[in-house]
Amino acid sequence: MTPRIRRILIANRGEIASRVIHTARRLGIETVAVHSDVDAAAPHVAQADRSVRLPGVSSADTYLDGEQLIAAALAAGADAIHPGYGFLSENPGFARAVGEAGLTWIGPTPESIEAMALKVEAKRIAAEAGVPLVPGAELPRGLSDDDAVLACATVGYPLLVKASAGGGGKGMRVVTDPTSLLADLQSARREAASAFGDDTVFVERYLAGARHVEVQVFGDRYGTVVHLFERECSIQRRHQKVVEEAPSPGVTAGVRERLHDAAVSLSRAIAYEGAGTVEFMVFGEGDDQEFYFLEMNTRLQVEHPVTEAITGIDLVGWQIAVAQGEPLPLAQDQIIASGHAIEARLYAEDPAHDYRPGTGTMHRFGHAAEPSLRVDAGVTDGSVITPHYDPMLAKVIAHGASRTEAAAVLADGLSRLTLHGPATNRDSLAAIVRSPAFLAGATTTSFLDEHPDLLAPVACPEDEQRHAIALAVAVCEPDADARVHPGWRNVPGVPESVTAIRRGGSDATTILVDRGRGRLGIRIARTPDIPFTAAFALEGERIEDATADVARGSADGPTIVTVSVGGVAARCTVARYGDEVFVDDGIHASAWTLAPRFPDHSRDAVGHGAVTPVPGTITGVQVAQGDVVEAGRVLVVLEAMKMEHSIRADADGVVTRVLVEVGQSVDAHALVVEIEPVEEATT
Amino acid sequence: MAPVLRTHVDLRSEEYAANRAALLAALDDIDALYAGIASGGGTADPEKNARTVARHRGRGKLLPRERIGLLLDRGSPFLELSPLAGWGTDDAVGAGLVTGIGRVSGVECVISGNDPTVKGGSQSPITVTKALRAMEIARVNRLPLISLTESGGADLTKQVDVFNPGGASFRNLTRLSAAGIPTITLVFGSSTAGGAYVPGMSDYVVLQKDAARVYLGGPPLVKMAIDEDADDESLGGAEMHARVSGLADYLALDEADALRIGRDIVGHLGWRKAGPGPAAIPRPPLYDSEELLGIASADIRIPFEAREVLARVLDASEFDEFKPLYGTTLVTGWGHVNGYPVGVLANNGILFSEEAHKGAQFIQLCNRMDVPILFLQNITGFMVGTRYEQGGIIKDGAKLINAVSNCGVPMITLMMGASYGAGNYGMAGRAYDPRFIFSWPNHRIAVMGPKQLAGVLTIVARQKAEAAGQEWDEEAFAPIRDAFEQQVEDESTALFATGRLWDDGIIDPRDTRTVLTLALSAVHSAPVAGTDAFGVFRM
Repeated sequence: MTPRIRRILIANRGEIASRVIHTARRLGIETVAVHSDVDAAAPHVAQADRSVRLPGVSSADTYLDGEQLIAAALAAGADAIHPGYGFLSENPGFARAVGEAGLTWIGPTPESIEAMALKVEAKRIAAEAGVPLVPGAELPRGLSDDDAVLACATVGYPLLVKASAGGGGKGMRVVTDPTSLLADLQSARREAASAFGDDTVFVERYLAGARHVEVQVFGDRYGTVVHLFERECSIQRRHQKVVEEAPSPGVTAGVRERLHDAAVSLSRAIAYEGAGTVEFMVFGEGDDQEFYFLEMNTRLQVEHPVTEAITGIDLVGWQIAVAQGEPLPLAQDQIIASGHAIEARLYAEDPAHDYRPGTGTMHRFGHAAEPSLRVDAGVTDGSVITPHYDPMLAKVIAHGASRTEAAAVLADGLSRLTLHGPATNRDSLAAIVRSPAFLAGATTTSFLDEHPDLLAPVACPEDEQRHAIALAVAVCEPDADARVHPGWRNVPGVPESVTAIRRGGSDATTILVDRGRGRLGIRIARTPDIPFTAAFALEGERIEDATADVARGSADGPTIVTVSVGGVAARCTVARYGDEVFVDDGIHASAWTLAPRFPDHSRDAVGHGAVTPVPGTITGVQVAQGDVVEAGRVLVVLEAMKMEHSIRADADGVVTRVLVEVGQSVDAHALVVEIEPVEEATT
Repeated sequence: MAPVLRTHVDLRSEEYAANRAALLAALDDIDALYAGIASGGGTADPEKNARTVARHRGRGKLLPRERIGLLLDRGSPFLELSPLAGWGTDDAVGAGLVTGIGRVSGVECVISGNDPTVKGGSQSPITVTKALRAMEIARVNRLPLISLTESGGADLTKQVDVFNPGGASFRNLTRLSAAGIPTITLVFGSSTAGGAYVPGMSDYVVLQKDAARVYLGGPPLVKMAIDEDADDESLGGAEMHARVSGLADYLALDEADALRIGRDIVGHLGWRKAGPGPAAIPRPPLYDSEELLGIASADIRIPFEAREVLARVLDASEFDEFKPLYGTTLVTGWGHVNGYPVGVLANNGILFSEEAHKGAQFIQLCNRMDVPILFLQNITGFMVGTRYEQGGIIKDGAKLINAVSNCGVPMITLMMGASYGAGNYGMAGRAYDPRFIFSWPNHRIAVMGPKQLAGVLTIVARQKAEAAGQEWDEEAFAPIRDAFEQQVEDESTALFATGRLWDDGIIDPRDTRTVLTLALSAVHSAPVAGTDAFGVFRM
């Protein structure tokens, strides 16, 4: 009998670490967090009772270093390790080492992990358990090109190349045309080798238009295996799940039952203990619907909360129970699903710009406290988003009586998130769950390819107008205790101006706020760069019926600007962090970078060049035409009144002309070297 | 706690509605004039104006009010002065110059900017009068002066009327400097001949590269005078002045850069206001300023209660009335405007000897207390007639005018209705140097009412005819009398007065508190000190 767990070390970071801590606390179990150097201030560290630093930044040096993790657990007095997902969660060697160190491993046995880790082996076991498989072929190392081409021809095109040791989309290739096969195989092998240290690949028939459906299973050490229904995770980008739900909206009752049965029989076949997920591809509709085994994940899934929502079961709680040697708390017929749950993964990535990663400080992260909404977040106010780890910030999960209700609650919850930080996929997620295709349940793995417009949803122009006005008015009215209305004018035509760049846009937006005799005239002009004065000359959008009322809470808190355009008012919260400004009105959010009020000419050399300070004789010329120089670099040496003067570049630039030579006498203020300053790349 | 004024205004009366409608109509007319001056060009032809402005913008230039908008601190109010100067004259409304008070780098400054789209920014007599008034406001209130210069110089067609006052403007610049009041000039374009002395006489000079031209004589004049071939840049370019002549203290790369440098200069002045500043926490009045539109009589012959105005202007509508039972047609007492303490003299009818006594005493008290005085004018004059002449109303009126003339504390005058005759003088009219003087649109001003003036003219004409032994034909004289009455009527309006700089601008009655606050704030840039040196009070 395994002793009861008293203190868990969570060998992970981010939202899953927080998630495990949450259940541990509910069960009266103490927790130990680990953190890399950049994660020292992460929320999971603050939430845990004890924390251990893992020196370094890279995953390899920290969250993937099993030895250090076990040492940390022992040092911190932990008696169990929860691996979370990712990192070492499916590493049988680590699972084994944890046990050998006398600690409880909260997860399946190393043997189960091993059995499912190699895809080829997993398929063999699945076939034996009577689970249908996608037509495919192994391509063992050393196979001749001709044999590979032949093997693939029997599988049929289009086909998918996958890494045997892989996951998460790495080493994956869709091959539609036999002529590119060999090249694709080669690059997939290269990618697999670098990602997993193993270049073995295999091919499968690529099922376009299929659904990704997976079954949550649980087993205990007494041979009981149950399923907790299925989830559908078809909406993916680059093989990464984006939106997940339970139950699947697209499987027939018959297929659903067969899916559950297949998952349970496979798990039984390997005497599975703990939480696992059996993934399938579901193909076709109605009576023709078929499914094939994909793989089994021997860990808790990112998307487990949708299962928790419909079953009311705490899966981490069950993991701990099983790890402590307890039987499963409920029998299959006691596990009941109710309603529908949908999860959206919030990433610090901008889908509108080729998933450009967002990094920087999340000044504020907040969400509504709705009972039907769950937010599992790995960030908190002030968290710094680094490029070192997975860019997932949080998961937002909505539970409703119906799928449409859950979708509405989720979309609304996403829109109302306060995200004052780097760019995210929030708007895209909200657009996806609001889209007619999603609401119709027409979800397949090619959903996002078929609806690229959902990656860069277009904001309502009136909402954007109101935000621009709110931003400008908040910036223009800095006085909290002014005796007269800030920006008051008795005669119009003396506008205040604010220039900002809307995140996601390339143009600079200049908002001219023209007050006069109680009226507010607004002009919004957009220019390709930051012109400072050029926008004044543009007609722009003219809004004559706008009103904007400012209410300020605390001195350093956000400004509330109630902006009305066309008779419709929105209460906009304008929060400013240095040059970054965020505007939220509940259903629309926008992020802006303020341009400085005046151009920064401090680095511009007046006359773009270096001039002599005094009259004298040139004794040295240290640059030639075409040289790239940095500010401060000596260009020319001048001797005057027995003193040597170094004439330096006052800006970074390229030497376009040298106007003097050694021995030449020069006047004061003479231009000696002409430099074309380098425009700083704008980001 | 001070007594609180209670209102007796019937917001549903016909009179209230009529006043409100008339004032709103007058404000609409003023708005149309404002829209005209703000859009630039300065002529009556909108298409021509648009072409002028487009040409100006095509050179990357801003309109003068836009320059001021960029120069001001964010959130700073801007109280434009004399905006309709030139109205009713053959000069452009606004006189091609924008003047006003606003905050730059935390410092309240007077800003004066040429409008180069109006006759090339050239200076008419009204332009010079307006510029001199702005300088006067800078001097007496101790406010730094920032000039945004781009002017073709004197309007040569009117050089006879510009030459002397124009000279005074350069003298005033150095007199400001001598008084320790900083003068800063940013030059965006032409500033030549006499105009070159604007930067020449300023403490700080910023010239915009490739735009400023500052020289005594341009290329044609130099060719004529000394037969030298010279170009604009070598005679007066910004780089030349920055590197060679030293006239420019700072070289700006563009308009925005010049404004940035101007802001930096003010930021480095270390300027502090010398007045005591507000004495109380601001509290809004109990009554809505919107109601002033219905309270102020559109027909100036109908009197209205001054306390109703005070109830909508003073903090918390609190008013410590002085001598409430004596000389009741002049209301005197103390209150606050946005925390600034003020003494108030407000007309509630014709002035008699008692009112003159009361006012003179009250002004002396305010001087003892170092409290600025607010005059609310609605006055048809001093009482006339045998009884009052024999009662010594001249001596008594003189006491009031003596007190006003020699007053040491700042006076601010609001023309809220009539301003006729010596009543104007006794209530700190234009000639008595109030620090600021503003009018409501219903304001009327003249030696006396148009009807009275026409009547007097008729009597004098009849007496003259009768003295000459001619028969007096009343009917034949009627058209002359009516024409004269109409002329006086036209020359008595608020617009006519403001066009000639008899005030510092017409204001929306609803903005009264805001304007007074800004004026009081400006006033407190200088020390606020009373005097006991009055003329001999005739007894």
